[in-house]
Amino acid sequence: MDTVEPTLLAPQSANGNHKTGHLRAIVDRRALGEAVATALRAVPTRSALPIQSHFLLAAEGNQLRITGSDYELQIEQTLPAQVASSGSATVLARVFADLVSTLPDADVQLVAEESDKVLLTCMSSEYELLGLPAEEFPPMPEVSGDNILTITGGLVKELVRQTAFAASDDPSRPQLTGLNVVAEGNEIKLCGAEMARLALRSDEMEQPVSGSINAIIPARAMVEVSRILGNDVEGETLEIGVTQNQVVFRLPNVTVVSRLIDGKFPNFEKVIPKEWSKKITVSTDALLIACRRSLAVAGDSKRLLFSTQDQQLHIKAESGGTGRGHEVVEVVKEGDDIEIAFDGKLLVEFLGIVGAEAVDIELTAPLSPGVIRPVDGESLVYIQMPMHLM
Amino acid sequence: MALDLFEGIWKAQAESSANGHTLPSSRGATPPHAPHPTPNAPCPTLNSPTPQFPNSPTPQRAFALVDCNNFYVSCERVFNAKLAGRPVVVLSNNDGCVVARSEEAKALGIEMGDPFFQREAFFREHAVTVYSSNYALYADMSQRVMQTLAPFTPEMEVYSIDESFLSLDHFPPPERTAHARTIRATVRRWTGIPVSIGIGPTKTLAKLANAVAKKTPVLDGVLDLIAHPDPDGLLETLDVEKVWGIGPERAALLRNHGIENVLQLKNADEAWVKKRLTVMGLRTVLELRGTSCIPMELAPPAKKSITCSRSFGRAVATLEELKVAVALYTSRAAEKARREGVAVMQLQVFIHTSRHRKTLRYANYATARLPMATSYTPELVETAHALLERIFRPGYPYSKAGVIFTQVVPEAGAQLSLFATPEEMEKRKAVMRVVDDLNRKRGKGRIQLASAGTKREWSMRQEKRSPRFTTRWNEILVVSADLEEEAASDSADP
Repeated sequence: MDTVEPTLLAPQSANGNHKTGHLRAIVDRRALGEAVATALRAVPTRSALPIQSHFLLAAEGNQLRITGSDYELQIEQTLPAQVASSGSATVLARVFADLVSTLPDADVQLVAEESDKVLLTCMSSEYELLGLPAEEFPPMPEVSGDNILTITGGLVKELVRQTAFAASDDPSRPQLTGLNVVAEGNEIKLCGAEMARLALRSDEMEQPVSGSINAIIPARAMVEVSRILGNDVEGETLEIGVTQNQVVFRLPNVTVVSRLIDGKFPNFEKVIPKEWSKKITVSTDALLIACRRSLAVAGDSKRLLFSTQDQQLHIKAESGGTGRGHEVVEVVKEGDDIEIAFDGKLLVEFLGIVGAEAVDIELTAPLSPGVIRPVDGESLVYIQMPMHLM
Repeated sequence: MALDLFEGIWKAQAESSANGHTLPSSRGATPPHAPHPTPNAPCPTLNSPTPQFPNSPTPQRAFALVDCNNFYVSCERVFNAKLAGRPVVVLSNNDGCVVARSEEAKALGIEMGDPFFQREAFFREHAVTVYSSNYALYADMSQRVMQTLAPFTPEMEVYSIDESFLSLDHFPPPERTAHARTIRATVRRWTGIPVSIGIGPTKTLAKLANAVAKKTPVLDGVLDLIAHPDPDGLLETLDVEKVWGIGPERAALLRNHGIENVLQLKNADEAWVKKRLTVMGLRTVLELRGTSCIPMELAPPAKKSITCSRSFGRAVATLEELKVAVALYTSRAAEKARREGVAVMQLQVFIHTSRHRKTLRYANYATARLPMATSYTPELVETAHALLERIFRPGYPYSKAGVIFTQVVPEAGAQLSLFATPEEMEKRKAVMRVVDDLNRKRGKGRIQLASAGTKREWSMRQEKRSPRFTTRWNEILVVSADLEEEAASDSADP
């Protein structure tokens, strides 16, 4: 297997050889605060291993690197620093984050004579922070591979936003806790699915992928990358490299490494119905609001009963303990009338991210999957299984 | 010393009270600057007694609690007339300890929970008849009692295997007691089970009335607390532990604060009760005051879980034997789920050794969420076995295993799966329907998974179980009659 271009994917601290010399660096408090907040996303709230509660601080050249890791996801952020002496040390991540967030906006000096003790000084504040030996921190994985894609930040955010919500959180089906990323040529597809629903989003990339990619990336990693990208991503690009068992996201100043999920993602192309006999076109907002209101009386089952009559969609909800509700929404209908029940909570989640004024709902039978697409595009397909009629 | 933020307000309140005005405040609330009550300080009580039930602000209701007397023992007595007037006890699973006693057994000092092995000699000495639990019989007899009760009321809540709440709102007070006596006599005549009936304006008071009716022979099994001339006088004679919802811990707390009888609890300060006994305790107090806070549950609440577990007749040490037990319990629980029209979303398997062991003690459980709600036995057993393998540790003498369906949902209206076609699901349902039909017609366990085994040497001990008189044709009661004598007496009749 070819090695990925070192400047792109190979992290600077590969092989776990953390430089454990005396760390001496000065950084700007505000930049440090932002870097800490980013790296903290990979630090677990409760960790099995003590080292997982720590940041690795590494100073080299004119940069300070801050790394957080839970062994499944590793986030490394670099920031400019005046480095007097290269070296690394660890500190308790949450303690360090709390401290940095309350320091005055001034230079922060970090000094570590030993790798498990950091002296932090900022104006009149001075703290000695205890950690663990830097050697214990998991090394940034060495990544190699020839499957790399370059993609705009905006597109990544959009792809993740419209698919990650449908991924499962059930660890007993690990494949479904990830997003299936398929890229070939200029086309990229992301698919999130659980047992009752599936969201598939496809788009064209400006640059073709080198090689081809078909991997299951943990939805959590994708969401974190999307968050790190922030809101202002115009013109920003990131590079994604996939190896046999890892994926690396290279953003400006940030590297995110995640393990891939083993196994086979269900064949989503097979699940998408090819035909429909009834189609309802409806305003997204009107349907979303009606569903949200109905859910107030739907009880724990979240079951909403949809039926069409002429050019109207009737939504009924009922539960023994709360009462019943009936909503009518104007629609454009093709085909026969139908009665079908859906989990309203799942439907509302989709309608919340669809980002289109109206949607087409394609149906065939009360127990067959419903397909929903935005009226103005083919790039997003959402499939939801109905519930049994009572 | 910290300043009192509310000083001005309290001063204003005090002046206002002195002038005969009352500021809105919760009844009996303690102002923040008042000294904190010591842990065992007496509970504040209302200045004036609470109104008697007839003056309750809401329209008065009449709840009747019908409770079968010593139910398990009474069931045994229905089919064995010789037991009348004799001490009888029923034991728990595996013939462990006493779970039901006749009045005669109680008079001998036999307590609930007495271990059988410790009292065996005593039972022999006092000619106490001992039975293993016969749940098939008790469940069937319970159903017969409930069916008998149903026509007597427009609203009935089956509260437990031997208790039901009936609404008697529509009966004017003079007729209520008579109606209750008719109910009592009918249940006795039709099922052979003696019952006691307590009537009150709330369910809590109906429960109390029932307890009094049961222990006071002169009442002949019926007490209407609404028509009682001095309900407060009666409540004052009852220990606070008698109240529904007041367990030993709460009773100890109340006693520490000087609340020893039911009347004192009824008159306790609401704010104090809410703080010490939570809103549930406050609800109990309001019920004692005649305000109905616990409505009738006319439809049984949706099942939230289904459990099937048993103690083994002997210690089980191998994974193979545990697998058989777990397959059997899962199959039974799945059958119950189908019977009740629910499907399983999440299941739990647990195993443990005896709590009384000094060494080699182990207990563990594991839980799995199913991809889609199901009541298909093979899928459930497969999941249960996987969980068992995760928690099993070799070398321990296990005394009990069990399966709990911790999340169940109504099968009608269940979510369908993207990855299983409706046809497949229908096929699974059809198979289970056939299995259930055959087992219903030909007897429990006639068709089962091979993994549930046929030799179960570890099965629960039930050495003293009476026949299942009402649910098994081959165990039906045989009555012998001397036909010649009968014919002779017939011919002698005019």
